[in-house]
Amino acid sequence: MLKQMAGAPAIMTDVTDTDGLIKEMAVRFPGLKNLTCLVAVDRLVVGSNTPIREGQEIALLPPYSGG
Amino acid sequence: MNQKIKNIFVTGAISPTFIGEKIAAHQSKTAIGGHSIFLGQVRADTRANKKVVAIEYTSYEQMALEQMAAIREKMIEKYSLTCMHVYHALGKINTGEICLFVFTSAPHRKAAIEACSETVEQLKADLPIWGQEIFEDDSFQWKINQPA
Repeated sequence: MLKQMAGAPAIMTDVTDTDGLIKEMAVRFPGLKNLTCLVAVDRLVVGSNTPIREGQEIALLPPYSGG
Repeated sequence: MNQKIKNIFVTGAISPTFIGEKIAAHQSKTAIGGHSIFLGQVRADTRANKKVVAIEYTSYEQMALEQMAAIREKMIEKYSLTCMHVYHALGKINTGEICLFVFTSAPHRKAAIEACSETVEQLKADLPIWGQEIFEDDSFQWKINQPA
């Protein structure tokens, strides 16, 4: 879903925490504003703003619909 | 997490033959007294007068496998399962085809049934998997899971 919106599977950025990333993504991809996403840092969901170190894998996850 | 991470993903629909083979593979495990199986099938919903003909599943696979390993470990311990297998289809699955196969086995039925049910609910809640509903006219929309 987000790949389609962004036109790319991954982006590089220099933000330092997850809130910063969400803000930057909303500017780069305005369609994201209408979507409630979970944030995962290195494949674990984080519930609040979390510092990001270089090399970590951050994912924005739209509501799941598997099964 | 002690258990090695198992792959749950298969490309394309889960075939009845595959399911039958998995059941047959348990005949040698004679401590088992009951199996419980859940099969998820792609439903031909109608949205705004358009019929769903398939669902295209994608996943953030590594995270999904790690989450599934945690669920597996919890369920095996909680219900003292003899074994447990989960398979989820990826790619385009047509209506009527099987997209999810959850298979729990225990010495007695109650544990197998409850573990199967709880596993289905947990994996729907925790695994980063997305379904895109494809309509007759090739248009699509992202699926939203129902609460039950």
